[in-house]
Amino acid sequence: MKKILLTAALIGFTISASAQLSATATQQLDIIIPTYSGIALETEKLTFDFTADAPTVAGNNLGSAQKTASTYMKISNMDQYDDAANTKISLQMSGLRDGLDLKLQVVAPGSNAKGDLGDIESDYASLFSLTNSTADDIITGIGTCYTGSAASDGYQLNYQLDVTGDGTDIWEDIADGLANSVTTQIVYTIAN
Amino acid sequence: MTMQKVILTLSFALLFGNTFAQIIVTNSLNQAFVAAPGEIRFVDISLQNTSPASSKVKFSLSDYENSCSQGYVYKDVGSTLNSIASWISLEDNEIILLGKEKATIRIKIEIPSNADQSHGHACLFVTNEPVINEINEGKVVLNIGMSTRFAVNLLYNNSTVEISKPDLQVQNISFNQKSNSLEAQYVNIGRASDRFSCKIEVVDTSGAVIQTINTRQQVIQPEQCRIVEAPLNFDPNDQLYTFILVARTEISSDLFGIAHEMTLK
Repeated sequence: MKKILLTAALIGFTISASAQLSATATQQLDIIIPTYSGIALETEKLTFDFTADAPTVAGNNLGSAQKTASTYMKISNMDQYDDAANTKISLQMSGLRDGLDLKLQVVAPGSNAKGDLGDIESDYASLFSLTNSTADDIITGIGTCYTGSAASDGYQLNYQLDVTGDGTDIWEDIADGLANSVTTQIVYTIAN
Repeated sequence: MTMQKVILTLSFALLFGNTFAQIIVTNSLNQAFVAAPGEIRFVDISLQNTSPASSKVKFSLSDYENSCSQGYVYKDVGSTLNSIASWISLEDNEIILLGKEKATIRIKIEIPSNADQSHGHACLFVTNEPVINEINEGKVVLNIGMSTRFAVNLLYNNSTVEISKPDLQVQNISFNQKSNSLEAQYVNIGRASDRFSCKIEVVDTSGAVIQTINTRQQVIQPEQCRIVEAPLNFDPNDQLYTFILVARTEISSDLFGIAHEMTLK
């Protein structure tokens, strides 16, 4: 009888121990987060077309001396080793001819954008003149975020081009292809 | 229009139509490494073209200075005091990534055997070049090209120099009423890059700790300023508070603490 009781007790202990083991089993979950930065422009060329502005009356200038163009800048950002919102985007223009004034306004992305999208620098909340060779922050405080990738997702970049003075030299340059994309470039830099 | 012209036009439409370059850098934009003079280090930069179109990517080096007011101020190679640009060699200066293609660029950094500087840095620009070269003949059109680039900081700490350590100081503490958060500006006056995070305790006039905040980690280079932002979960109500800020660096394991009293309105 003692043997039976002992055996029963051992079986009970074993079952209990087994139940306890399974009750306390843990599963480790490793979550690996990638690091990445992406920046893209919806279009890589701004076109200001004055063709339709040819004068209809002899003696007049080439119509409107102001044109606008827009595009969207998309970003994706995540940095596992630097997760404070320190990423920023700066802009640098080069080669804009004298006699032209290019202004930029940055508009916050729409509802498809999520995360720490950063702050638009106050200068660029409305149209702001760009200067050759000067690097300038346009969006700061970007953290983990994405803007969406559809055509109208992202920061909207609104440009306005003004022809200053009488513009005759510039019109000749533009018509001759001398003031085209080969000479004027805008570079957007993402840095952390 | 001949068949050849139709095919050519379609090809250009596919290449340059509504597609836009989508290069992603799948690394941190800060690549720190510790090495002794005479050693060689390799840093791999991974790229991915997420668009279906081919894309040209160019690589170039730049120096920069850190400025608390202006951030990174990019300079010509070799023009700054702690430049390591001359130690760096690139496998390629330019690559074409086919649609959806991935690539890894290896950067070789040879630390000269007589290098005695405690730290240094350089920037690798990864530029997604625009593919724009057409001229609209017969039209009065002004084209301006735009491109995007990634600034990858290459940060060197000298393992043989005793004083190659960060030194964090709080330059300014302010209360952002709009976001109800504390903002502390740190500057690294030391001689090494590091990553740091902060533990902030908010103590009221009775001595009770009413909030503890652990901030997120961030990289800080010598002479660089970083803002630590700590959202508060209470109504300040025009009261006096003591803020105890302890910054901890990850690589050097140093602690930098201060206490600051401030009335929050």
